[in-house]
Amino acid sequence: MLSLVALTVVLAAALDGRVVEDHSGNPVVSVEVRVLRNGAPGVVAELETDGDGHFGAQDLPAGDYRLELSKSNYMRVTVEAHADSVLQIRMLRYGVISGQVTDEQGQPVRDADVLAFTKPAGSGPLQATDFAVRTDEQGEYRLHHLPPGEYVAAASWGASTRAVGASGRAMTDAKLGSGFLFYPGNTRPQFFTVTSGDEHRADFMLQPAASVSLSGKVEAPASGDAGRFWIALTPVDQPALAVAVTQAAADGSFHFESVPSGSYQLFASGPINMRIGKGGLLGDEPLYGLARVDVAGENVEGLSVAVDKGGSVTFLLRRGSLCPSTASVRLVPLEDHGAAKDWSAELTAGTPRTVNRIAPGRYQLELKTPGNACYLTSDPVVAVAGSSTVEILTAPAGSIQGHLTADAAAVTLYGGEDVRMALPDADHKFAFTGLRPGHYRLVTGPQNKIEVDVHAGAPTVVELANAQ
Amino acid sequence: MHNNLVVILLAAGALYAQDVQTPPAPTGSISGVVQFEGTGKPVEGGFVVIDPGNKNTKTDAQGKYAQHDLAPGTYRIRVDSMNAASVSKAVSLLAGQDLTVDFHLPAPGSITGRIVDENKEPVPDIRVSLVAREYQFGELHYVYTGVTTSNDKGEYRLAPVAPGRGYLVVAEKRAPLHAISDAPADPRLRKRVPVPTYYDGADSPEGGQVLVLRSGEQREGVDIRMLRSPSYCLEGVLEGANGPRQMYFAIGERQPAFGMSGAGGTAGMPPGGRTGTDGKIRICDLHPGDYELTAFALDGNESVSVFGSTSVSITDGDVGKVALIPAPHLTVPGEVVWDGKAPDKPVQAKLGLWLMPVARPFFKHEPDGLFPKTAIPGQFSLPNLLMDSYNLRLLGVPDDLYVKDITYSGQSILHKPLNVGSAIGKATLRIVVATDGGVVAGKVTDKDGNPIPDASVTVMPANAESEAILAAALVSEPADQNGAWSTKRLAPGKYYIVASTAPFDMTPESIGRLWQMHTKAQEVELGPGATVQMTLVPMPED
Repeated sequence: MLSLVALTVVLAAALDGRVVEDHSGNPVVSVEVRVLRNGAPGVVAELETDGDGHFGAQDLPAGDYRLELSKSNYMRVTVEAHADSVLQIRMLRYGVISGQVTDEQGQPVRDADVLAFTKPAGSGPLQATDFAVRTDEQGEYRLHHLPPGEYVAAASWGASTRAVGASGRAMTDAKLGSGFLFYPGNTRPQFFTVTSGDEHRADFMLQPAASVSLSGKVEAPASGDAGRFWIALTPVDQPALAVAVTQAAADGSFHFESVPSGSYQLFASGPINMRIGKGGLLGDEPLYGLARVDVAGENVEGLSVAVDKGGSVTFLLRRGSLCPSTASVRLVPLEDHGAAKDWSAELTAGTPRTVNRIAPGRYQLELKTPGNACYLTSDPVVAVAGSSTVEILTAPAGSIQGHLTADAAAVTLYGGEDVRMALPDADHKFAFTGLRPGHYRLVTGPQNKIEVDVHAGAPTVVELANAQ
Repeated sequence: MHNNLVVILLAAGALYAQDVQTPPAPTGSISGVVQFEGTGKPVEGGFVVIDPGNKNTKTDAQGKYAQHDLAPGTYRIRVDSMNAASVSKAVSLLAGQDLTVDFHLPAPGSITGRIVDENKEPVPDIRVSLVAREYQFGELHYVYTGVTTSNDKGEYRLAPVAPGRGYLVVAEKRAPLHAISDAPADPRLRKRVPVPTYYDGADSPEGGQVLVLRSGEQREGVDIRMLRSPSYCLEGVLEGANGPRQMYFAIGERQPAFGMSGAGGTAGMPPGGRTGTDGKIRICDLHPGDYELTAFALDGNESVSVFGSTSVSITDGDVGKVALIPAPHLTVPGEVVWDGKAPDKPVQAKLGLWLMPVARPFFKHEPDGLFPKTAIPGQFSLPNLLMDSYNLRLLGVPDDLYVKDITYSGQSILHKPLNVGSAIGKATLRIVVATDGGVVAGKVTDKDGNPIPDASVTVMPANAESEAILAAALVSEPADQNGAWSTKRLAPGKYYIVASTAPFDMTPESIGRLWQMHTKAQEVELGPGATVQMTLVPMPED
């Protein structure tokens, strides 16, 4: 392993730095700088940048330090530094997608939800993010905490999972019905590439509700539970959002008004114990039903949805060399079921673990290992139907080892949850370790950027020429 | 949480609905339309509560409501809406009458502005709250009644804001609290922390500028420049009966607080967290101020097993060695007794008690036992009290009685909260009722003697020694559609009585105006058992 910094013996040292905005080069003022000394408990000092973006601390004990920089609207930056460093730090501003939701007459639609989705590398399905916001009285919305990346935006209205989860009913005007709209259209959503300080605009115009209705009955085994089933109507070709969610009546019957034509998966889940913002929360012994429904301009009646205990997945952890023998795995639905439950398991290498009563559908696997030392290398998407076995393969975290061909103050790494910085040593070498596999960007100055793919297990070696 | 509170309020009222005897037919009905003043837009989903009987309905999309099968008599109709202040009217319903009672609620407004720092840069993620000021149980309370968060441009919007009453706007930074902070030991090496800043630049609610909106007003430019102060820490240990233990804690400034007001409210707990098994706390990023530190533990049933709180003042340095030993539940015995001799005829009706924590929502299972009913006279027990302050209301006081005093541990708490921890030794809650009350009744008319409908009559005990006590002790009665009004039984003594076209609320402005009206009000010396008739002309709106 390369050492990040050259060790120098100093009795009293200082840290000095200046923080600028990545895309503009303007100083960033009032940045909170937490100074931690490696091997010492607690925070040594809490500093703040001045009007010119400068910060500094004198009379520090010699040693290696970690600096954590934070300011609202900017991504956090972590810097490894040694005493007597002079740091040039670039902060990345979150991006914004904003706009207005209106009806066909141009009247603002309040209480619609606007959500951001990301697309994983490769050809995987859209993944929900935590970025969601409700429109105000003027129909305006503002998604403003977007880390750099690629996003699509969707408006969801009426009896959506979020509305029914939050309030138990449709939020927007009844004459709009229910539905969702990806910007600018559902057939071909537009990807916004959000970089530092970007602001994108996406206005949504909602179409009036269709006139077709759909009704049926959940055949719950225990009659008392029938009224505690939630039913979500989710398009087959865009399962990331349900068109509408409804709660079954006490006899299990359910009814959807104003359903647009299309092919749907109808998810029934219950008994629901309580509402949360993301839908209905399932209890310990959930039951699920799944039906395929085609709606083509005529009312659909008399659907009968049988329910059962869903599927099960047996996980087998096969750890990579140098990886911990334990890991925790969580199944994150890729389809909007209108209902939520925590499907997760603690895994030990060599010991099969089964997660039961999983709603049928497709899931993204989220794997965590102790200390974030290793990451998932096997297929992260699983389909649950019946019982199946899934092997979990892990490999050590990725790393970047680099060499600068000229002097540079620092190398900044973008792409993880935080922005990280490393200082080159006397041989112009630098390294970032413990990286989640994925796409990163290395920057040494406004003109010096390089895109890097980091894989689990093996280091990625880069050479950076410096224009300065 | 707010919804939970509303549900509890209604449920408490519903407990006493059964006390109302159902009289024989013919019954009448009350119906009408609730609209916003000015625009005439219907108020949808407003609660219309008709008392006695606590019958409630909701207004439909056209603002219409209707309540049938009402026995003839005098009713009070109150309309509550999330979007406007409550409005109530009194009516007299004749046998078989179908009465139309319409309401015009002031239209809600909004307050918008920007939060900026010392460099005039926008500050995102700041909690901006609407704070109502109101006298409650003999104290001036600052109650959060609406909340929003500033966006990435520092902009915020508070809506709906009920017009016609004074509010403060406060900007606060709410960051997660850790039981053990890693802030530097030397206060000089810590960052300066944002101080709750009241529009227009004050560091305390007393210094805040009171904003009053007109009906439907969209107030703009309510910008707040966040103040900052040095940052201090509080260190201590939370202990159970057998020494330090793992516990939940919360810390917040004493004012403003969560709770209910006449303009709505919010429920919640101040920021907090959970200690390790050593019970130790080192809470940092505190600005100077008066705080309430609360600690509690939960049992396997998620019920609170121990609870305690203590006041902590931070001035210009760290506070160390705070020790807090929360106490288990307490059972407080109580009794209802006669003042003097009992009346010849026994009282059939039951008296209801209704206790609610002053500044926090109920914990799980906590309401069990906080709504007892008792015979008059009789004994009761409050088995589930925590070492906290509660507001006590009495429900179902029979018409021919009045509550003369309430004492706890021998001290009068008639117009005060019940501080469970204030007792020394074994304390009893005593409710003293009396039969020698008098009644004041009459008409509200104009100068020429023509009745004025829907006026409000306010009866003020002359012995109220402060505005806060006056607010707690005054009695407000609406006049009906014919200008007629009557009080319930009042303790004998001297009163000042005024009529007004609109009722007085509990804000300091309203109570201050009433306080000034002593001299212009009609004075009544109410003798034991007396009925005094009087005609009132409303005070001019100054």
